[in-house]
Amino acid sequence: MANPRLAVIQFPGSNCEYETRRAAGYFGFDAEIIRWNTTENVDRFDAYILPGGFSYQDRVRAGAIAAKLPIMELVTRGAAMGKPVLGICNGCQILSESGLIAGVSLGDIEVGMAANTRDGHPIGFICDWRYVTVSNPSASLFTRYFDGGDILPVPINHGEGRFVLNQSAQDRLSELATFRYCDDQGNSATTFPDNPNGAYQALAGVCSVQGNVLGIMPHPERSAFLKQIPLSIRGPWQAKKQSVFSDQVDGAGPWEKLFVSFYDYSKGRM
Amino acid sequence: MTLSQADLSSISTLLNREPTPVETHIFDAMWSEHCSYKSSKAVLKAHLPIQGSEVALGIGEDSGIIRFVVHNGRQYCLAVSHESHNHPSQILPIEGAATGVGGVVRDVYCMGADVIGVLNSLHFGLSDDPQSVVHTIAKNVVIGVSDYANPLGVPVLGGETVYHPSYNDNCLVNVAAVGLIDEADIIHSYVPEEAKTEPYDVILFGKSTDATGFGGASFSSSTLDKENDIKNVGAVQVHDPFLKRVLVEAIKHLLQVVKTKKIAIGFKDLGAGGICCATSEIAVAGGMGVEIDLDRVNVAIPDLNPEVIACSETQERFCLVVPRTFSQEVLDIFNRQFSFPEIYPASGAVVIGQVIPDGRFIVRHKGQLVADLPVAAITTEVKAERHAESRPIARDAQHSVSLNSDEHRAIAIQLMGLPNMRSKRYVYRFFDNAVRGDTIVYPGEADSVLVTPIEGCNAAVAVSMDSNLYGKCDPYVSGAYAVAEAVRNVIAVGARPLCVTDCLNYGNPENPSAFFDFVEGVKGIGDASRAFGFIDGEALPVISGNVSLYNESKAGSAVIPSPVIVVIGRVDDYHRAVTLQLSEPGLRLIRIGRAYSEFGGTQIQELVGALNGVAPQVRFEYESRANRAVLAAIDAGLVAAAHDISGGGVLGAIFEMCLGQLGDFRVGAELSVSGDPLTTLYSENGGYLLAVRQQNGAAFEALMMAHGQSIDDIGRSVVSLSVTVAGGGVQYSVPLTEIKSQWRPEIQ
Repeated sequence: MANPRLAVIQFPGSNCEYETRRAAGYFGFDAEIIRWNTTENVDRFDAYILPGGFSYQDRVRAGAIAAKLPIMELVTRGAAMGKPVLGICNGCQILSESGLIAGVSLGDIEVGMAANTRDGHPIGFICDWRYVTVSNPSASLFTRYFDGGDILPVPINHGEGRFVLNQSAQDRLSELATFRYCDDQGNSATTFPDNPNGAYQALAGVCSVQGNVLGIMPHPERSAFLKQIPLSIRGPWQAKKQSVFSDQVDGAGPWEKLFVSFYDYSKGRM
Repeated sequence: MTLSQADLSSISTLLNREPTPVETHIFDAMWSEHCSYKSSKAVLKAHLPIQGSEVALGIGEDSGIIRFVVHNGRQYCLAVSHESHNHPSQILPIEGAATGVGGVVRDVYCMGADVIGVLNSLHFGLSDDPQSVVHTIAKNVVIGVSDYANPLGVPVLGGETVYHPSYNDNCLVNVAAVGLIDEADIIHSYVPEEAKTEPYDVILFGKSTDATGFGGASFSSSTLDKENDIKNVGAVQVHDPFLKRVLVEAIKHLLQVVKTKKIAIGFKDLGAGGICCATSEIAVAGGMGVEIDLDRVNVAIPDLNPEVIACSETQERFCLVVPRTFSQEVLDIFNRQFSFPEIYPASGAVVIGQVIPDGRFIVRHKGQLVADLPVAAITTEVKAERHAESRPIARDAQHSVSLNSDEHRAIAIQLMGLPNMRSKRYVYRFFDNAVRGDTIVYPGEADSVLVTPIEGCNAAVAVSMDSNLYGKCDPYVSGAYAVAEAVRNVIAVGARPLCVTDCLNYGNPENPSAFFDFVEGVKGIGDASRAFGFIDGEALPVISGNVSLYNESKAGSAVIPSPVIVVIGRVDDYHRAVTLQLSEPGLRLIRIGRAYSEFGGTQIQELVGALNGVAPQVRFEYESRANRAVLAAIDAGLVAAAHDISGGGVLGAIFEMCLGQLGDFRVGAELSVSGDPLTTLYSENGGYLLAVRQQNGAAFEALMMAHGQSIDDIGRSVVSLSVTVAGGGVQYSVPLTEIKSQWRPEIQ
C-alpha cells in the first residue's frame, strides 16, 4: 500500500518548505511542495503541513493574509473531514488566523499570535532552543505516542509567537493545550527565557477541539534529526548529540514520535 | 553626484560631445570608486593570489566559485560573494544593513546557486553616553540584518561584532553569502555566444522600479558629511525580503526549465547603477551591445525622469538575456505561475530591450534617444593615481610590566567583560541560524559553524569571518592576521581551508597615509593567502572581494584599517568535526603556537595600558606547519576539543572553552605559566588550544613530532568549576560563575 500523500503548502514568503518536506519524507510520507496558487485539486492529499516562513511579510498580522487565500478553503475542508493538518511557526500563525485551532467550531478565531514580550515589554525576534512538554497526549493525533514525562528540546525562531486566547478558549484550555514551554527539568515555564515569548500559560502548541489540527510555534522539522540538535542543549539529548561525533551515530531526533504518530494516523485514514 | 570636473571633461573627450543627463548618471555610477575600483584595482592585482586548481570561477563575475565536493557524480561548488554596506548603514541602519544582505545574496543567486547561509561582520562605535547615536546604529543594524535574512530563509552562519571608537562616525557592515551549485549549472553574467546568431531579448524582473537608491554607488564613494545626511537618505535602497523569497523560488523554477531545455542565457543582478550598469555590463562582457526602452520598464510611480529609471538602485531586481523564442515562457513563469503582479504592485517580468550586434549601448525614453554610448566608453578602465606615504610601525617588542597575583586576578576577571570579549548572544539571538535545517554545529559551539547542504552527503561546509583591531598599530599585520585567524577557525573544527574572500574597509584613498594602510593590508592578505594554501604549490585563492574606501567623516575621523576575511573550508565527514567546549575533567590542555610580547591592539592592552604597541606578528612558516599538524591530529581523531588562540590570548581561549556557547560550564581548568605571565596568558600570536584525552596523548605527541611541531602542555581540565593559574610568580584562582557574570551579565 502506498504511503500517505502530504502537501507542504508553499505560501508567498514560506521558507521552511524544503526541510519540512525532507523531515516528513524521512518518516515515510510521500511529501510534495504545493504552491499557494495551484489550480490543481489539493483534495487528493491525505494530510497537510503549513510550513514556517513570513507569508506576505507578516503584513497586517503574521498569517493574516495567507489565511484568506483560496487554498485555505481547501485546507479547511480537509480539516473538517478529519484530515491531519500541522502548522509550524508561520503555519501556526496562519492556522490561528483561519480559526482552525482552538475554535469551538472550525473557523472561529479564538486564539491570536502576538509579538514576543518579556515581562510585558516587546523584545523582537528570538532564535533559541527551548524545551517543551506534552500537556495532554491523547488530545491530538500528533501527540498520542508521547507521555507527560517527555522533555523535548526544540528550536524557536519567531517574532510573533505569543499565544493569546479569548475567554472561551481559556475555559477549554485543558483540551487545547498541546505543548507547553518548560525548563530543562520539565518544570512549567514561568519566566523568560524558559517561556521565551510571554505566551499565555507558556503555550507552545495548540490543537483543534477534534485534535486533528495542530499549530506549533517551535520547529519540530528542525529537530527531526539527531544531528540538528545543538551540543549546548541540556539533558539526555546532549549526550546523544555528542555521540554523532564520538560514535558516528545518526538517526531521528526528539520529535520522532510526533512524525510517526502523524504518519500512522494519516496511513490509517487511507 | 561625485564626478569631478576632470572626469566630466574626459567624458566629453571620450564621446567627442557633451554627455546627456542619462549618460552623465551612467558615468557617475560606473566611474565611482564603488564600481570602478579606480584606486584599488592595481594594488589588488599586484598582491592577491587568485588562481587555484579548484577555482571553478575566479574574480570577475558576481561571485567567485570554488569546488567543494563530488557526490553521486556531481561536482558541487560553493559560490561566494562578500560585500560592504557601510555608508548606507550609517545613514539608515535598518534599511542599509538589510539591503546589504539583499545585495550580496543576489550576487550568489544570479550565478544559479542557492544561498545556504550568510555571515556578517559588524563594526560599531563605543560611547559611554547612553544617548549616543552609536548605540542606536548598533541596535538597528542588527535588526536590519535579521529583517532581511530571516524572512528570506537563509541562516546567519556567524560572523563577528567588533567595537572600537574609530567606528563612531562610520559603522562597518560587511556581509558574505555562500551558495551551493553544481559546476555544470553555473550561469554566467554575460550574453552567450548564441546571441550572435539569433535574436536575444533583455528581460527585467522583480520589484517595480522606483526612485530609491538613486545615486547610491557614488554616495558610497565619498566621505560622509552630517550636513548631507538628509540628502543621502534617498540614496539608500529599501528592502523587501518577502518579494525576494518568492523571486528565489521563481528563479529556481526558471533555471530548471533552462537546464532541461538546454537554453543559453545570461543572468545578472541589478545593483549599483541599476538597469544601465547591469544591462550594459551583461552585453559588454559578451562582446555585444544592447538597446533598452525605458518606457517598457515596470515602474512604481509615474513620470520618473529617464535617468532615475535608468540608474535607480531599486532592490529585488535581476536581468536576463534569453533567446526571443523563450521570452514568453520566462514572462509566464514570473507573471502567471508565481503571480508577481498580484503579490506586489507592478512587479513581475517584462522585456525591456534587445541584444544588438554592434558595440553600442542605446537607451530610449518616450521615443527620444537618451543615451548612445560606444561600448568601449563604458568599459574604459578608469584609474586614479594614488600615493602611499609610509608611517612608522612599532617593532620593538620589549616590555617590563610586572603585576602581582592580585592584580593578575583582577584583570583576568575583567577580560571577559570587555566589549570585544563578551558573549554576543544579545546580537545573534536575532538571527535565525538554522532555517533550511542543515545547521549541525551552531554559532558559538566551535570556531566555525558547520552546515551539511547536500542531502545524503556527509561533507560539511565550515565558514569563518574575521577581522581584528591591529590595523592602527600595523596595517600589514591586520590583513595577514585576519587571514591566519580565519584559517585557524576553519581548521579548529577539522575542516580543510579552500578559499578566501575579502572586504577591505579603509579611509579616504586620496589621503596618502590612508592609502598606505590599504596597500599594506592587501600585501598582508596576499602573503598570508600564499603561505596558508592546502594544495601543494598553491596559495589559498582569493575568489571574491570588495573594497570600501572613504569610511571617514568630513570631520576627518576615519575607521582603523579594517580588512575583513572569510575563509571557507570542507569537513569531509561531519562525524569527525570537533567543537570547543570542555566537557570532561582530566583532559590535557596543549598549546600549539608561540607567545611573543607583542601587545599592540590586543585585549590586554585595554586593561594594562603601558604595554608596547607592536601588533602580534604572523610568522607564516611556523603557523603554516602548525595548521597542518593540527588538522592531521583532528583527522586522526586525537583531539577532544579545539579552539584558536586570538583575542584575549590563551587565557581568553581557556575561559571560552569552559563557558561554551551559553556559559553552561561543565568543568574548570588549571593552567601553568612558564616565563613572563602577561605574555604567556595574553599574547594574541596565533595558535591553538587543544584538549587531548590522556589515552590519546602518546599518539598525539608522535603525530606532532612527525610534523615537526613542538607542543606545550599548559594545563588540564578539572572537576572544580574555576580556572586556576600558577607559575611565573603568579598564583590565583577565579570561579567560573564570576567569569560568566562578566561575559554574559544578563540572560538574553
